[in-house]
Amino acid sequence: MPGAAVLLCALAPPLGAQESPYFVTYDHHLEEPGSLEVEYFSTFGTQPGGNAFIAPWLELEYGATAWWTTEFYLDSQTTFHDSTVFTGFRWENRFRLLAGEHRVNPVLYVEYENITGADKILKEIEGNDVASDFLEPNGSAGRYTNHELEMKLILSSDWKGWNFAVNPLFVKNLGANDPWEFGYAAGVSRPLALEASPRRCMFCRENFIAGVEMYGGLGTAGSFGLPSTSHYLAPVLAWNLPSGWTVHASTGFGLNSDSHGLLVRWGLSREFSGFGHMLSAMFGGKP
Amino acid sequence: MRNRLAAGTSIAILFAALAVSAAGITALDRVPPKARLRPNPLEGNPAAVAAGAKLFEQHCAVCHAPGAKNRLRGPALDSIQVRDAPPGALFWVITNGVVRRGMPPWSKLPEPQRWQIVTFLTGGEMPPPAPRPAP
Repeated sequence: MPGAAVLLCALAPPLGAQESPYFVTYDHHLEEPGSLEVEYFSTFGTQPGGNAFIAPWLELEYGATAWWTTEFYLDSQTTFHDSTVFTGFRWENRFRLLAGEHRVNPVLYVEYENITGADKILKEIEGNDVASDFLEPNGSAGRYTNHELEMKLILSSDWKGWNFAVNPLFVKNLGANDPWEFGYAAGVSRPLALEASPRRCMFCRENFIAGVEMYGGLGTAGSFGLPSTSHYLAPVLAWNLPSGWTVHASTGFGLNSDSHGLLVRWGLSREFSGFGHMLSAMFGGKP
Repeated sequence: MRNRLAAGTSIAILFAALAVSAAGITALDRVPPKARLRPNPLEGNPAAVAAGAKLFEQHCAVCHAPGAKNRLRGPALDSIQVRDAPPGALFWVITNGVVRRGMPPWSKLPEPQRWQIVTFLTGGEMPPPAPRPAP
């Protein structure tokens, strides 16, 4: 069965990508219906008082309908002078709440996480997450698993080529009696050129989208606020290639002493159009 | 009791009639009047037609077929209805999509690129539409 999926990916034509450059912030643009996007990302982080790490993760993002995108994650990490571990999975869903385009477009984000204490991809910062949490060796941090429900209200707007997005974050650990945790992410981005050139080109300015994002924790229901929280500011860049590939890069800087000094992220993604319809046709459904 | 039954039947017929009439309404018919009046800032620009053709192949052809000639999952776009549609109406449909029928909003393309697609759809080199069967 995985072989059939790989074959379908090979047969499905790549779609001209127009991917967001954000790593943490979400805008309101969902995956096109029937399209599968395969994404590989990685975070390199420096660790105050400990060993640096690289945390790669794989995302499979599918456009179920024009108003629903579902996504599956597999997380892992390598801590230098320690070990390489698989750290769990996530299942994310995003629902467009209003049809059409509005001044501010709300999208509801709901994610279930089944990840160990050794997870370091830093896809979101929540509650009182601080850099010193990552000092625990993989052997002991990997022994406990968190079952978390994560919700975001994605508020996003496009104006004169600019995208503005704000994501308040709410997280509940389902396996413990912990209070709700809060966080935020916000970003702004713009293509380097708004008009497309008539020719097919790799280095045209419209293929590059640059921006900046900021994200961090906001404490818990019991201690809401900025004390003992970490925050990051990160310039971001996406390069959308005509072949359907997108290259992503970002360098994040910790903004206080509870943050990692540096988070360097990069990634590759490719969108396969019509994947769902080909899969449906394979099993006798209507293509 | 009989009056309630009659009223209920009338309402059901009214809703059925509305549903039937709604089925014939295309996405272009739903465009607000103000949006229809927006002029295409790139009208008649040959470079915009070429760029629009490229963008169409990249983003639209998977559903509307390369060259806009045939129907795949979305409707064919080489019809007289599309070619003669107000550019503002086409721009509005591309921007807002037809979410309930599976077309996503394409507002992630910058506004000038959406106008380039409109320019291609209304002014590009497309074959004449297939003749309709006689009634």
